[in-house]
Amino acid sequence: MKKYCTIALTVMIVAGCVDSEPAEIIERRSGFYYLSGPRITVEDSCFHCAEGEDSLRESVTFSLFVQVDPNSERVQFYGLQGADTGDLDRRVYPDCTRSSDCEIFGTIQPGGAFEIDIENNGHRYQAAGSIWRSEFGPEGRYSIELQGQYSYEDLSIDYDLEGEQVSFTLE
Amino acid sequence: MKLKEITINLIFIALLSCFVLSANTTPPISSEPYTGLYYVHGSKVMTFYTCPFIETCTPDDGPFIDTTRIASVVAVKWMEEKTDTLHFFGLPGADEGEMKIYFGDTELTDFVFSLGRYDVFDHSRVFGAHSNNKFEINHNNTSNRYKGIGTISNRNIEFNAQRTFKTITVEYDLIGERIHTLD
Repeated sequence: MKKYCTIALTVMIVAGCVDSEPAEIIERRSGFYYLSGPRITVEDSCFHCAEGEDSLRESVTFSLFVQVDPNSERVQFYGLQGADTGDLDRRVYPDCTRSSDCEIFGTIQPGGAFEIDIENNGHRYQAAGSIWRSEFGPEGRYSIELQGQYSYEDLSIDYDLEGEQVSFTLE
Repeated sequence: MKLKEITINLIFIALLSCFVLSANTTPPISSEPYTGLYYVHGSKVMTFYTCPFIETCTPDDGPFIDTTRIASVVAVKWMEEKTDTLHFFGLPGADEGEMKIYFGDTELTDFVFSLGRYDVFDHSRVFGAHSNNKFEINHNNTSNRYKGIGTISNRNIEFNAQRTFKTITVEYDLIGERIHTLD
């Protein structure tokens, strides 16, 4: 009986430090992504909007660096427009000039679904998305989709983005 | 007593396994100069007319000036096989930016390339000539032109760039620090 308990205890300890997906696969989601999609801005006094409209639709393209912690559910984003980058008055940390003062973390599930919810002095950014193995492009490359919203007082900006992992180096 | 020793050994092996798994997933630090992520911030000044060609513009068509302060994350890769070259990714005005419709019908694009499939097109990659911590970028396609000059070290980057397209000129003045090395 003690023998079985010992084996069970060992299995539980090992299982506790290994995710349901191998760490190597989870880590492959880390890297550069090239994102693009519509950005829709809604505000009471919209300077650039067409007459009689309160929303402005634009297309944005930007790079994003994703770093997934293979040992936890934590994921960090560098260059997420509306959160740590973008226009001064349209991001969660408007006065940020040092990245360490505006680090963006989210949670990611083993299957690749992630969530972000950050707030700073009334500036808020919420997003949900997913990173999955791409059916297109080079083998082993990942794709990303992200629906996010930045909000502050009467201003809200919605993002509907998708993109692919980029090697960044010559192949 | 023997069973107790086996139990302790198994727990030790399990904990050691955890440690090895964790150690294997720590990203290595790059030893390549300049390679890494830079968090940059500064001004972006867009000067534009609401007419497609300057020859046809009237005084009512501008120029209009839109000034904003932006932040971005730019990745830089030192090309080991071509040491006088830097590869940039996420450079505002070059491969990163926005396209909008002003005043109902004037389309303004502040960057050179808009590609969903970045890797497919080699010409979308932005390179700069590099020498003695200084770099210069000339990135063009048929109708867009992006020119920039700057300085870079393993800690800092600073550059001034201008992007022109028809009657639109966008000037970037950005400065920043390296925040992340890359493997």
